[in-house]
Formats: sequence, C-alpha cells, structure tokens
Amino acid sequence: MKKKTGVLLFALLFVLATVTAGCGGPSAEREQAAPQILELNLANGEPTSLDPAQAFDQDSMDVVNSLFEGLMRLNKDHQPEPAVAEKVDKSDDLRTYTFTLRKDAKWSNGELVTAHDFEYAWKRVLNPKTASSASYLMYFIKNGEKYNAGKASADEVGVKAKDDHTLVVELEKPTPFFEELTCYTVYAPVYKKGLEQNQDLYGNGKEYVGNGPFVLKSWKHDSKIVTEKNKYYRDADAVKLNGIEWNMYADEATAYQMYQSGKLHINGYPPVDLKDSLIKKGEAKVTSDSGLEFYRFNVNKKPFTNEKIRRAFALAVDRQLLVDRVVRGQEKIATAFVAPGTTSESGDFRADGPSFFEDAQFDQAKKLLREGMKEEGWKELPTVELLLNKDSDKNKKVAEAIQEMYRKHLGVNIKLRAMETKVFFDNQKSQNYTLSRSTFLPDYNDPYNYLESFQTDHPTNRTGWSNKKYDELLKKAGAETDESKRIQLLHEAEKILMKEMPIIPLYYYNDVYMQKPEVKHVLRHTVGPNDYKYVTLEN
Amino acid sequence: MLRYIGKRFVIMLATLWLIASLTFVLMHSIPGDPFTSEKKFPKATLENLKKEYNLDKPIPVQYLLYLKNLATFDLGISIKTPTRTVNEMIEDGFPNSAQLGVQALAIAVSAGILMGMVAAIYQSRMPDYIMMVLAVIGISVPNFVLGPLFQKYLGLEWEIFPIAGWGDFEQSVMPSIALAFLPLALVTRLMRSSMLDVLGQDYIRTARAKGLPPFRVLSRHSLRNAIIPVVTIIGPLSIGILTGSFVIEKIFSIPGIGKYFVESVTNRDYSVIMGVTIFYAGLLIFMNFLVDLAYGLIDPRIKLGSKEAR
Repeated sequence: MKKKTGVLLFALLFVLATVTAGCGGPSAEREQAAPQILELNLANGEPTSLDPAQAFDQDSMDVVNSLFEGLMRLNKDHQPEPAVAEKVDKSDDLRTYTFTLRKDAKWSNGELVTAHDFEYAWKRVLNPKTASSASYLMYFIKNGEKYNAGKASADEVGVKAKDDHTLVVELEKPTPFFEELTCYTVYAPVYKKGLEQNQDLYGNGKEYVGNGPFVLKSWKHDSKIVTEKNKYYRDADAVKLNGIEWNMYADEATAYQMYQSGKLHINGYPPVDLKDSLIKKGEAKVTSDSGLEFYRFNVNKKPFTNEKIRRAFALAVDRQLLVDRVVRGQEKIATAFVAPGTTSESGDFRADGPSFFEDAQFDQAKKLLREGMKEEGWKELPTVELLLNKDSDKNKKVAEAIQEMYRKHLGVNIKLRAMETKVFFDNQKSQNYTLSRSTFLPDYNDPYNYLESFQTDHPTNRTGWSNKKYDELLKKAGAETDESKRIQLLHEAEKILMKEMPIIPLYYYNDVYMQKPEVKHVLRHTVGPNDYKYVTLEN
Repeated sequence: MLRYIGKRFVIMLATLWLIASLTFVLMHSIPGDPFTSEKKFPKATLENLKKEYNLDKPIPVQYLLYLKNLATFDLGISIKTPTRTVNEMIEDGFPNSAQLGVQALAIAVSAGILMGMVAAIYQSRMPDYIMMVLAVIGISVPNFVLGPLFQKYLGLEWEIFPIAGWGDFEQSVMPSIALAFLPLALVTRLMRSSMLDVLGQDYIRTARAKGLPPFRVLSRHSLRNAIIPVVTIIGPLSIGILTGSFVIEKIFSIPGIGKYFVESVTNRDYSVIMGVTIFYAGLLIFMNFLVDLAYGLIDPRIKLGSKEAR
C-alpha cells in the first residue's frame, strides 16, 4: 500500500491543478459589446478609495467625479458653473456664500439631494475621526481647520443647511477660488441617510449611492469598476454614454497593447520610451497640464547661500535641450514658477506675467559664478550634491543631463545622490541636501496655491529661504477682495521669488494621452479630475 | 508521530512570532512613513491620520497592540486604501494568485519531471541537449521579458489568447506558462542530475538483471528514488509561486496578492507589510512541515521524530 502513496501524491497534485484551473469558469463580465460603453484605464491599478472624503489621487478622483456632483461643476472653459446649486449669492466681503440648490437634483436611488447632505459631507471630511488626507482643502471654511485639529466643535464649522435647499457657507477669509473648490470631489455631497446606517457605504460596490452622471454597478478590487448611466441624474439628457468601465492595467506596456487591440478607448499613460515617436506620428496628443518640475536649493548650505551662485546654476541649464532630448514629451520650458493655464477670474496668470530669465545663458552664468565666489572669498566651490528619487528612469536621466550641463558650462562637477522615494522625501523635508529634485502639483487652480509654498516655514518651502516682503505680499493677497489688486500682489511676490531664486524652474508638466478617434467631448481640466460626462462614441 | 506533530507546531508558532517581531522592527527602522510624500499634510491632518492607525503611540505599544490583533487574526486596515482591510485584500487576492500558481506549478512539475527524465535517459544525446538548452533559456530569460513577448505575439498579433485580464480560463494560460518557465527549468535540471545518479546505482542493475521490463525499472525503481530532491524543493517553490508574482500579476493585470509584497514596502503601508509577510511566512512554514511529512510517505527509510534517523 505504502508504495502507492508517492504516485498518489502526484495524482492529487494534477487533480488539484485541473480542478482549480476549471474554477476560472466563464466570465461574468465579458463586455457586452454595447456600442456606448467607454473603456478607460486606471494606470495605478486599484484606486485608493471611492469615498469622496478619502479619494485624493488622480485615479480615484477621476472615478469619483463621474459618480458624484458637487454644488458646481467645471465647464468646457474650466470655469465653475452651477450644478447641484442653481444659484450662488456672495456677500460683498466674499466671506459668506449662499447656495440655492436645485429642486430636481437626485441621488441614484431617486431620493432628493438636500443641503443637509452637503453639510453632513463637509463636516465628515473635517471630522478628525475620518482622518481624510484631503481635509485641508476645506480649511478655507470658517473653523474648518480648528475642528479638524480637534479645537472646535462640529457646530462651530461655518457650513449650515438653512433648509433642504439652502446652504450657507462662511469662510475664514475671502477666497476668490471657493466656487472652483466646490467642483472638486472632496466637496461632493454624500448620502447622509445611507451613511448613518452603514458606515461602509462607499467602501464597496454593493450599496453605493451617488448623484453624478454615472452610478456604480460593480467594483471588483484590482480588476474592474463598472458604472452605468444614472437615470436620476439631474442633467441625464446630456449624458450620451450607457456607462463607463474602468479597467486596471497597471503595467504601461500592457495598457498600451490593450489600447492597440481596441479594448481601451483612452490610454492616459503611453509608454515613456514611445512617447516621442507617438506624438510625432500623431497617435498621442498633448494638452497642457498644471504644475512643474523644478530643483530646490538649500539656501542654508554652501555654496547656495549666495544668490549669484544660485542664479548661475539656474542659468546654466539648457531647458530646451533637456525637454527635446531627455524628457521628450514636448513640454514647455519653465522660466517662472506659476505654470501657464493657472487661471483666476482675471484670466491666465502667465498671460500678463513676464518670463523671468532667458534659458541657457551660459556666459552670464559663468560670470555670476565667478562674482559669487569672489564675494564669498572661495577659491574652490564647495561640493554640490543633487538629491533625487530613483523611482523613475526619467529622474535619473534628467539629473545626469543637468550634471553634464554644469560640467560643460560652469566647469563644476556635481555629485548625484539617488534614493528610494520615501527616504528622498524624508531628506528633502529635513533639508538634508544641497540641491534637490522637486515637483509641484497644485491643489486648486489659483496662482496663490503655487506661491504660498515659499512663505517662511511653509511645509512646502523646504529650502530654508525666507523673505519678509514676500510673506507680507502673500498675506495681503490672501486677504484682498479686489481681484486685480490681488493678482498684482501675487505678481510682485513671484518677482521676488524669481529674483532671489531659491529654486530652478525646469519645465511645466503636460498631459500626453492616446485617444481613439471616435471618442469625443472629454473635458480635460488643467487642475482637477477629467470629466467624461459629455463623452460620445461616434463611428 | 503525534508528539512529533505537536512539537513541530510549537516550533512553527515560535518561528512565526520571531518573523513578525523582526519584520516589525525592520519596518519601523527604515526612514519615511506611510504619509511621507511630495504633499506635506498640515499638522492636524497628519495627526488625525496617525491616530487612526495607532501610529501616534510609542513603538513598543504599537507592537503589543499589533500582537494582540494578530492573535485574533485581525491584520488591520490598509493605510493606502483606507476602505479595505488587509484580511479582505488577502481573501480577495490569494485565490487568484493560488490558481495561477497551481497551474504554473502543475506545468512546471509535470513537464519538468518528464523533461528531466528524458534528458537523463538519453544522456549526452540529442534529446538531452535540447532539454538542457531549453532549461538554460528558462533560467536566463526573466518573466518580464517573456510576459510582454507572449502578449505581443500570442495576444496582439495572432490573437490566440487574451492579452491581459482575469476571470476566464483562457486569460490564465499565458501568465501560467510565463510563470512556470523558471521553476520548470529548475525542476528539469534537478530531475536530470538526480535521475543520472540513480541510474548508476547497483540496485538498478539488479532490477534489470532480474529481467524487469525497462518501463517498470524506470517507474518503480528509478523515478521513486530520483524524485526526492524534487519533492524537497516543491515546498518552498510552491509557496513562492502560490503567493503570487509581482511581475506576472502586474503585466497580465491579475488581481492577486503578489503586488502587495512590493508595493506595501514602497508605500510604507505598515499593516499590509506585516499582513502579507506573516501570511507568506505562515504558509511557508506549514508547507515545509507538509514536505517533511511527505518524505516519510515516499521514502520509508526516513522516520519522522526518531533521533536515530537523523
């Protein structure tokens, strides 16, 4: 008997293998080849959360934006227009907003969306127990920050539903971009009645209730999110799609092949190596995005204690060459800090702001370096180390290119220090560097968001740079109710920043994507999630 | 035998505790935390986040809290995807990784044993060379090359199998084969050398001299003896495969747990790091135990628990 057990063991293994292999079974969700289903991809796989209070990365926000609608929604020109709200009244000091809600805005179960849902949702975001990482976007609301820090009660927060259709919001200070903020997913309403019964309402796909153009049908983790048109949506006539399916191909080569085989309508992240040729062949399109790539100086560390030397390092970079040969995504070079497309009521901030220096000024850079070293009495330049995170090949290539530019144009050899991402940020934040790779992505579309970063001791500053005049200008701009004066103050502040140069702007980010020709009317906003509400598939 | 199993069980628990403690210490000693990113959260937000995950408490307290939860099989909530528990993530992901793994393992073991045997029997002749060239290819071509190659030709160009995704059996064919390549090569080489060793033994000559038909000699006398080294590596090999492959799962977009091993560390998602490590370690320890038991079944000379046998 015993002799047979060995053979048996293997027989068992085979049986196990065939049985489990068979278990895969027929797929429940094979696409039904319905013509009006938009197939999209979440390039980072499973979204962090589909709860409006928690969703704070691009993928999650894109999905949530199709499932919810706030008081306002961004229109084709990226400007806020009334959505669930039908009317907005602002007080003269811009500190009290009264939103009148439409009477026909409904949840996906047919119930009415009320002002109470908004009040509940916003206080939920600010509730310290929710531990929302997006809560600071609500610090503009009166006592929002205090409540979030546990220093005020929920009742003291400046948002109140006067009745079912009136929401009164009090702000800490005049916030000209508040209407824009109400378009973002964190400001979306939540279904109060459902959440009170089931805390996990937005954690799974079973009882999910939203008020957006689409409604969640199923959510298979790490695999697929299926949504269909929400028949109760207040603007349902404008929605032509029958649904959106969000696939999760996290590998960019796989996503590319799925797009090529026609299983995806849009591929938001073409493979880096192919980007350049895809753009040239017209298969990938480019639109401007927000934010920029830049390098930070540590102004407390030699040699960057000297302004002229900082300037020399900024001028010795050939940005156009960098973008054309290394980054290769047709990015625009950055010679200021606020990116073009940063709009406020008075239009594009960059349109009337100058570019602060010329790209690739090698002779001037050399001269400035000599002068700077003379001022400091240095015979030799102290060692410069460039800190960078090595999670992408691109960072390294850019750093090496800049290293070479400094060698060639300044005669300076800098060292590269590549680190794992979290270690890198740890070092950057504790200012343990001389020169550091940096990125900036705005939270909302206003120049103030860019410029506030470099106030003294602001958590995003990280350069040790401090300028009293700058701080004062930012403070004034934050309190200014006159739009043109406010913009003027911000321009002045940026001028100071670019004169003293605690940073080297490199290039502005853009958005490169592949989209099938039949897909029309995708709204790509410079800041905030994409909107697929109006999409049509035409053959 | 029962006493042996009891003793092994205690040792297994102790090993698991040691692994959990070591992981905990290592994890907290690397720089950065789950909330380190380009965005710097305001202090209040950061404090709320830390409180939510007990990260505001001193590390020894966190450790005790963790052990307490672990005793009730509660692995906590993922920090990166706050709406999911680690238990759910493993429950959802492991069956998929395991299915893929079982298929890959079945291919690797059955084909590997067969190829190894053929190579040994035809030693230094054409079939042997072919098998060994295949084995070298299997060992040296990484699966992040194989995967996209399969996708490009079998998927996109010839449209034999779906490019990626999970759910249908067809979707699991390409990733299974890609995943099976390396273990297949290992098993083939191991089986070949072990078989060669056995074929040279006296008792094989005796069996042949007795006039046993060649197939019987092969199946009864050679295979049973030659297979022991292969069984030894099946334990650790199967765990490595069953718990998923980061690369294969990412390329073929399979909702398994392979990616958590890598991504949890980059994200410093403490609860997920601990959860998947303990899960992996527990399985590995248990499989080794099973393999030890299997020795006793295959080779009666190995007596479990008795000191003389060691």
